[in-house]
Amino acid sequence: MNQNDKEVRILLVEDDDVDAKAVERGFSKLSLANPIYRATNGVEALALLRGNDQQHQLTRPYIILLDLNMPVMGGLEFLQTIREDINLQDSIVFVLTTSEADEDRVAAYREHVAGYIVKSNVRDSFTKLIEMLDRYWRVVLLPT
Amino acid sequence: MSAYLIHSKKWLLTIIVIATGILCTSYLSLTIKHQLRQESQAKLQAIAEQIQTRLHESIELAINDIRALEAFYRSSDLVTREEFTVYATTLFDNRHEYIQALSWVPIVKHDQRSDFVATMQKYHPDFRVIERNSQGEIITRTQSDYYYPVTYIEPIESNRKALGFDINSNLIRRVSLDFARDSGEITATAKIRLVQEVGDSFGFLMLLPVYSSNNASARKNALKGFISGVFRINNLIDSAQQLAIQENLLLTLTDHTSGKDDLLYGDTNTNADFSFSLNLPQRDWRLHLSMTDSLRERTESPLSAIWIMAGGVLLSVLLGICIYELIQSRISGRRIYRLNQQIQQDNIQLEATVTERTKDLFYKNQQLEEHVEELTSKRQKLVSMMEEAEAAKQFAEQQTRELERSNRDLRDFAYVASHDLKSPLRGIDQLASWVIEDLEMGKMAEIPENLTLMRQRVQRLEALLNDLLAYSRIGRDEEKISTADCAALVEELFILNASPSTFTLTIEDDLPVFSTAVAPFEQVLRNLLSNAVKHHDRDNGSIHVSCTEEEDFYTFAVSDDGIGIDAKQHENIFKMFKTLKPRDEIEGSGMGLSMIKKIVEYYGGKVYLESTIGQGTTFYFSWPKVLKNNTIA
Repeated sequence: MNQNDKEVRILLVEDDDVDAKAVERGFSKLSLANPIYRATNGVEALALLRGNDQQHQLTRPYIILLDLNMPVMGGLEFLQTIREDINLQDSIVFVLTTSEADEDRVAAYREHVAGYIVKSNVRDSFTKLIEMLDRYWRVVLLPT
Repeated sequence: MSAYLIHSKKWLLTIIVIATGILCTSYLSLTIKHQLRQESQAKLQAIAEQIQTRLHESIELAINDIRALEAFYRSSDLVTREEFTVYATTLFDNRHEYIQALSWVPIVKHDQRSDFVATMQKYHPDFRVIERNSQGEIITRTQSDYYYPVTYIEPIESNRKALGFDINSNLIRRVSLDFARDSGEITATAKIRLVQEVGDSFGFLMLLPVYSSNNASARKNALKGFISGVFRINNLIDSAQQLAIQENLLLTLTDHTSGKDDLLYGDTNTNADFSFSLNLPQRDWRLHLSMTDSLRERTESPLSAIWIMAGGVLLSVLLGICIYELIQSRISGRRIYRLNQQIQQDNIQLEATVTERTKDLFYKNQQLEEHVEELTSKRQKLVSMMEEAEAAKQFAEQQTRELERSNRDLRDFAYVASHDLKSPLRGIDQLASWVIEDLEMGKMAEIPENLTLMRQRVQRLEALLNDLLAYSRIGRDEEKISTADCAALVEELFILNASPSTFTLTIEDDLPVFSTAVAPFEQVLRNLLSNAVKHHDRDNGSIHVSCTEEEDFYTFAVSDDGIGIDAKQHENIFKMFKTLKPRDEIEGSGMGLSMIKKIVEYYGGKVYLESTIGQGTTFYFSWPKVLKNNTIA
């Protein structure tokens, strides 16, 4: 439970600005102060996680919200990369995508994602997703 | 069995032939021999007759001479010595050969003897009347009643010894003298030894009495003397003998008057082949002719007959041998014929077998050929089927590829539906809800920004739909062929692309002018140019366009001096909706390169790129010089 006191960091990997904004609005709407880090593709996300950019390394505990369709490095490729990375393979990842394709879902769960969430399903109540995430990290003990 | 028969038959026939031949030859030989003997007998007889005739003629001539002399004496009372000599010599001119002498022998009575001798001695001083004593010596004639002394004799030279010889002194002569005197006939004496004979020849006299009166009853007293022809038998026979010797005959003369042969000439030991009578006055002479031994031999068994015999026998034997051989050869011929027939039969059988086999083979061959043909046709069918199958396989593969591509396209399109098309729509929805939310809550600050974002999404959606439409049309629109002046086209596109004026374009001189489907070609160039500008990291980039000519293709290159593309992304960038930057950062449908790829590949070309990070990227694409009807690879 100590962990829960610590602020869980959110890594949002999303190329669409509107979707990113929707997540941010959901957080602010629920008055969650968790810091949100934004990456527009897998490459940027990896840079944040590994801290090899000038940006600070994202410190644990964190949850990754991952879009699948992105330029340069898509979500699935990103997943494969972190699962092969010894430092990152235990990362909690939620897939947040517009793709309802089964192959994407299967591929994502094969990479041990914590949940596969289709954006259209959340519609305007994007807040439900955020609430679910809030509860999740309150209940679940995250890897450190 | 049959061989034995043939064998005996062969011998039998041969023997018969030889025997018949020999018999015939013998008969022929004998006949010929007989005939030849007859012929030679006849010939000899003719010769003998000739000899006889010649002798006869001689004798006849002599008789004629004697008669002529007698007639001379009869016609004159006294014939003088001279007259006699003339007359006789005339006769001798022709007949000397067979007559020894002609003489006049008067009758001289004993009382007239001395006168006679005296008269004669006038001409022949040594003349006397002579006789021959028992020892054969010449002596003076003893006293007798009368004498018949040779008075005139011609030719005197060779007959002088006879002059004065009293022919009456000899018994043989006397018998004839008496006969002649009494009969008045010319009379030949038996054989005598002539007084004048110096050799061993017998002789005879032919006496013709001369009378003073022709009264037959008074003849004895009217006798004046005799004309005497003196014949030396050897001389008489000479010519005949010569002829006989020529003909290989031996001539024998005998006196048969007394009933038995008294040899006159020749050899008594010889057996006469021919005997003829030779009539002399008061004499029965026989002329015998016999063949010499050699002639006899020749006649008895003539050489030709022997030759014929020998030849015949030889011929018969030869004929026999020939027939033997003939039979032999006939036998072997028959055997050969039989063998031949056998062989022929065998041959025919063989031929038949061969024919049958050949037919069989032919049939089998035909079957085989049919089989082969069938097989070949089957094989051909198989090959064609295989080819068809291969073609079908290829077609199927192509179809599969097409289908895969199509599926991929569909999948890509599904993405469009699920993400790229949906996301702007969802974004619009989201933004709209936020505007409503903000309006309700009276937070106006974010509303303009959200509305701007909403419009951006709408535009993005429109662009996406346009590109999708264009993409789907690739290869479906009819190609309009017109001339493309590449340099001009590039320049025009660069300007129309509304590129920032800060960008510079360089075009190489060797860009071609060629006839092609301009619309898709233009699309490719436009997209590459717009990409070069759009994805450039600076505002003052420079773009370079060049072209290299190859065999069938032109390869165009569009280079920029931008940030470059990571080699890992070279494959991804051609995928549909793949963008290397978020759409919010650079507006783009993510279809530009996939559209280029689709167009270029549709016309048989290739698209690829070379890039160095931080230095720039060059996109290459090849475009056919001449369009083919079906350019889908």
